[in-house]
Amino acid sequence: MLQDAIQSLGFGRFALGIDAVNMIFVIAFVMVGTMGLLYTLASRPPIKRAMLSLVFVLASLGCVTAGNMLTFLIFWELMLIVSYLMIVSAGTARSRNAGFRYLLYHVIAGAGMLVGVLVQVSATGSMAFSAPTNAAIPFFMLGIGIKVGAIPFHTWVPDAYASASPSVSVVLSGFTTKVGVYAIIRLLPGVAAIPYMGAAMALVGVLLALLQKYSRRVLGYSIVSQVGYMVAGVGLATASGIDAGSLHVINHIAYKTLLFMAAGAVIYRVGSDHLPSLGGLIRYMPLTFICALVGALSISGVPPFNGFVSKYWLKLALDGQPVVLHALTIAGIGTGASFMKLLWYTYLRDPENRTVSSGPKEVDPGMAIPMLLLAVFCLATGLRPDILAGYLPHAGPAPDPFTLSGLTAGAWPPVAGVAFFTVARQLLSRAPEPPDVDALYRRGLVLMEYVAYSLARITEDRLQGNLMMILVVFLVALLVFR
Amino acid sequence: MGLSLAYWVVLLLFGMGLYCILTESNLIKIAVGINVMEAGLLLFLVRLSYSPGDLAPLMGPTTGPGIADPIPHALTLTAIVIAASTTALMLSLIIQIYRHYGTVDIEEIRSKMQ
Amino acid sequence: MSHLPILVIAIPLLFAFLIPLISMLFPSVRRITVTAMGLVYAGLVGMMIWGYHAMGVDRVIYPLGGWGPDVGIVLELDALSAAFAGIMGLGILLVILYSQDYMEAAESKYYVLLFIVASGIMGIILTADFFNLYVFIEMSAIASFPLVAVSRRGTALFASLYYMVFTLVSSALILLGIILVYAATGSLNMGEVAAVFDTIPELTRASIVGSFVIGLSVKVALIPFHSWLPPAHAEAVSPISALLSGVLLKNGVYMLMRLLPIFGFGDGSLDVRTLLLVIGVLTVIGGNVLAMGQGNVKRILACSSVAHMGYIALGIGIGGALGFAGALFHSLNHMLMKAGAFFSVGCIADGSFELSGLRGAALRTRPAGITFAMSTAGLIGLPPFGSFASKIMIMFAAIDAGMIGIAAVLPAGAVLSAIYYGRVYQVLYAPSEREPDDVSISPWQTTIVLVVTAVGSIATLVWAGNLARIFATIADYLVG
Repeated sequence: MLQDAIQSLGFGRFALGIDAVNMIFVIAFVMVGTMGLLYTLASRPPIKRAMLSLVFVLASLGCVTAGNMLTFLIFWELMLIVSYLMIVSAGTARSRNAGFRYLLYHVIAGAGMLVGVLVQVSATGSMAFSAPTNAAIPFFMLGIGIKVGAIPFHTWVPDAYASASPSVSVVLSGFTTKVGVYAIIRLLPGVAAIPYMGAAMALVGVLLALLQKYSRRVLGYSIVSQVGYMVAGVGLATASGIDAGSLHVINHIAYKTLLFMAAGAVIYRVGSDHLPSLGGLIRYMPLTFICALVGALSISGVPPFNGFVSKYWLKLALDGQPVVLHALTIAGIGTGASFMKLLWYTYLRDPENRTVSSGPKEVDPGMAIPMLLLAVFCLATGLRPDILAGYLPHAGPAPDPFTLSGLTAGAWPPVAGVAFFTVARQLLSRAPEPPDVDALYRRGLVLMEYVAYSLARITEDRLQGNLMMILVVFLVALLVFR
Repeated sequence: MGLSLAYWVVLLLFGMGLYCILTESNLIKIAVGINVMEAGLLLFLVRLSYSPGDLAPLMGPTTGPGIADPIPHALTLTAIVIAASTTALMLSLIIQIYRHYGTVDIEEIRSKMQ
Repeated sequence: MSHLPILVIAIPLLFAFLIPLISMLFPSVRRITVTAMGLVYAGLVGMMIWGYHAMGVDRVIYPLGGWGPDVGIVLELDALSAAFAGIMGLGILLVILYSQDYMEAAESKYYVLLFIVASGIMGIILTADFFNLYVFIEMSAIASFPLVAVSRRGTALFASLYYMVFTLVSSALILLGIILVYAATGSLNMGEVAAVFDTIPELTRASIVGSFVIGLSVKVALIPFHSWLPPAHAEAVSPISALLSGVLLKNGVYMLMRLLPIFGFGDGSLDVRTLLLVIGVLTVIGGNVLAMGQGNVKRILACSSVAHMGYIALGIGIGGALGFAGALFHSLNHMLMKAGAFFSVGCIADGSFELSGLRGAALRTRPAGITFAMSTAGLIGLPPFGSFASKIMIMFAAIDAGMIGIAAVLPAGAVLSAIYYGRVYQVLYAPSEREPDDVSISPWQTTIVLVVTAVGSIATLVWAGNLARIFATIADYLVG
C-alpha cells in the first residue's frame, strides 16, 4: 500500500506529449518563442540572458506538454526560477525589486498548485490530469489565479514586465499567463466562477491600462485584460468556449509580443517608454509604427486582424452569460481607447520633448524581421481563420466571422474606444496613475518583516527564559497530551 | 520510610539544580546547578538497584534476590566520568568568556554582546 | 561485513588521536593524512552499508566481545541505521574535505574533535543499548562544544556555552528517560525494551516517552527549544555550521525515528504524534518567521534549519509510514542543501556575515555564488532540487491522513522562506561598484565539495523514485 502511494506520486516518471488540447499552445509557443529569441539576439544581450530566454521558452513548452501533474508542476516551478533570473538580469535595483515581488507571487502560486495537486492525487490515486475534487478547487484557484493575473493578484504582470530589460519582457510576456490559461483547461474545467473571474480581469485590467503613463505598463495591464478574455472562454469548459479561448491565446501571444517588440524598439532607440515624453516617432520609425499599428488593431479586435476573429467567437461562445458578455464588450471599448492612447503619445502627436528631437533611427533589421513576420501573421490568421482553426482542441465547425453582423460587432467597440479617447484625451492626460493593490501588499510585507524582526530580538540570547520553556512544555505535555 | 526518603533527596537535588540553572545569572552557578541536577539523577540510578540490606555483588553469587544489581553502579560510574568532563569543559569555556568580557554575569555578557 | 560495525566507531577514534602525533612529527603531511583519514572513514561506512545490503537480512547484530544481547552490549545495524550512516558519513566526509582549505591554519585539535564527533555519531547510529546511546550522545556533543568556539570570538564562546547548557539539560532528560526505562524493564537493550514496553504502568510510560521526546526535541531544536541553535550555528566557523546543521541535528532525528517506534509512539499514555504535530507547525512557521527577522546570512540559514527540522517533525508526527519516509528523505536533502549553503556562504563572505556588508559578494565568488543560489533554492523547496520531492511526500502523507491544514503548512513555510532568501539574493547578487572581474575562485578541493552538494541536491530529485522506494521500505519496516 505504501509502495502504491509512492507509485502514485509518480517520481521519476516524467511524461511529455502533444495532444489535441495543447497542440495550439505548442504552435503558439514555438512560433512566438522563435520570434522572441530572434529579437532578443538582435538586441545583442549577454550570452547568459539569451540562454535564459531559450531555457524559459523550453520550460514553458515542457509545462504545456506535460503528461502528468508532477511533470507539470516541475516545469511550472522551473519557469518561475528562470523568469526570476531573467527579470533580475537587467541588473538595476528596480528590476531586482520587481523580480523579488515576482518570486513571491509565484512561489505562492506554486504552493497553491502543489497542495491542490496532492489533494487531487490523494483522491484519484494517480498523477494523471483529472477533473478537480471540491477540496482541490480553492488551491487550484489560488495557484492558477496568481499565474493568470486574476484580480487582485494581477499586479505582478505590469510590475515585472515593465521592469525587466526590453528584450526580456518580449520573451517573458507571452508565456507565463498563458500557461495559467492552459492550466485552467486541464485542471479547472467547468468551475462556474471562472468566467466571472475573467470578466473582472478584462474590465479592471483595461481600466488601469488606460491610466498608465509608461507604454510597457499599458501593455502589462492590457495583458491582464486580454487574459481575462481567454479565462472567460476556457472557463466555460464548453467546446466552443475552449476553442475560442485557445485561439485567443495564440492570437494574443502574437500581437502582444509584437507590441512589446515595438515598445522595446522605442526604448532601445529613445531610451524611455514614458509616454508624456514621447511623440512624433512616426516620422523616424515608420516601420515600427506600422508594426505597432497592426498590433493595436489586432488587440482591439478590428477586422480583419486576428483579434477580431477570436473575440467574435468568444462572444458567440459566451451567449448564455450576459454579464460576462457585456463586461467583455465594455473592455473592448477600453482596449480601443488605451491603444489609441499608446499610438497617439508614442507616434502620432507632435513631439514636445527633446529626447525625440534628436531624430532616432529605425530599428535594426535583426529586430525588424521578427516584428514584420509577426505582423504578417496577425493579418494572415485574421483573414484566414481556418489556418489555425484545425489545430484547436475541438476544431468544431465555427461560424464565419466575416458577415455583416460579425463585422459590425467587431468594429464598433474599437471605434467607440477611439472616439472616447479623442473626447477624453485632456482628461486622461491629467489623471494621475492610479494606486494598485500591491501598495497594500508591500505594506503588509514590511509589517510582517518588522514583526519577525521584533520577535527574533525578543527571543534571542535569553538562555534562562528559553530553558524555562523545556520545563513548561514537559509539564504541559504530561498534563494535556495524555 | 527509608525508600521514599532517598527519592525525596533525589527530587530535592534535581529541583535545586534546575532552580539554580533557571534563576542564577552567574555562569559558574549555572555550571554548579547542572552538576547538582546530574547528581540527583545519578543518585536515582544508584538507589534503584539497591534496597537496604542487599549485598554487594562481589563474591559468591552475583545475581539473585538480596544482591544489589551491579549494572546501574557501572552506569553511574560512566555517567560521573561524563559529568566530570562536561564540567571541566564548561568551566574552561567560562574562563575564556571571563577573559573576553571581564564578567561571568549572564545579563552583563548579553548587554556587552549587543 | 565481519567487524565493520565496530571499526566505523573505533577507527575514527584512533584517527583522532593519531592526528596530533602526526602533525607533531611530520607537519608537512597533515593535510594529505587528514584527507586520507576522512576518505578511509567514509569508505568504511560505505563498505558497511554495502555489506549490509549484500547480506539481504533485516538486521545485523554485532556482539561486542562475543557477549550476546542478554548480558553483553551489542551493536545493531538495520535499514534505518544504514540509511543514517550513509547520510552522516557523507556529511562528515564533506566537512572534513572542506575544512582543509577553509581551516588551513587550524590547530590539529580541530581535527581531533571532528573525528571524535564522527566516531560518536556512528556509535549513536549503531548501538542497540540505551546507555551506550547516552554515552555516544555525550561523546559527539562534548566534542562539538569546543568546535563552536573554535574562532575564539566572544560571541562564539558565549554561543558555545549557550549550546552546551541546553544540550546538557537535554542529555539529562534523556538520561532520566533511560533510568526510568531500566527501572521499569530491567533491561537496556532496545529490542528487549520494545518487547515489554506495553506492560509498563501508564504514568511511567508517559514519563519515559515525555523525557525522551522533550530531550530529543531540544537536540533537534524544535520550537520552543530552538534558541540555542541560531547563535551556535551562526557563530561557528562555516564547516562547523555545516556539521551542526547537516549532521549533528540529524542525530536527534535518527534517535526520534529509532526510539518512537520502540515506545509505540507512546500510544495510550502520551500522544506523541499530536505533540509533534503541534510543535512541528510551530517550528515550521516560527523558524521561518525568525529567519525573516535576521540580518546575518548564517543566522538566516540557522533559523531555516529550525524550520526544516519542523518539516521532519511533521513527517514523523503524521504517523504513517509515508510521512516517516518523507522525513527520512528530507533528512538526506537537508544535509546536502544546508551543508552546501553553509559551505558556499563561507566562501562568499570572509569574516563578517552581516548582509549589509555583502553587497554583490556572491557575484565575485565562483563557484560558491552559483552553488549558494542552488542550495538555497532547494531549501525553499523549488524543483529541480530534491527537497521538492521529500516535501511532496510529507505533504501527501498529511493529505492522505486527512490533514490538509498540516499539508498546507509546508508550502506556507516555503513562501516565508522565499521572502527571506529573496532578500538575501537582492543583496548578495546585486552588482556593486567594485571591479566585476575581481572574481575569486575557490581552491579545487573546496570546489569539489561545493559541486558535490549542489549536484547532489539535484540528483536526489532525479533519483527520487528509487530513493523514495528505499525510504518507504525502511519506514514500513519501522512503523508499518
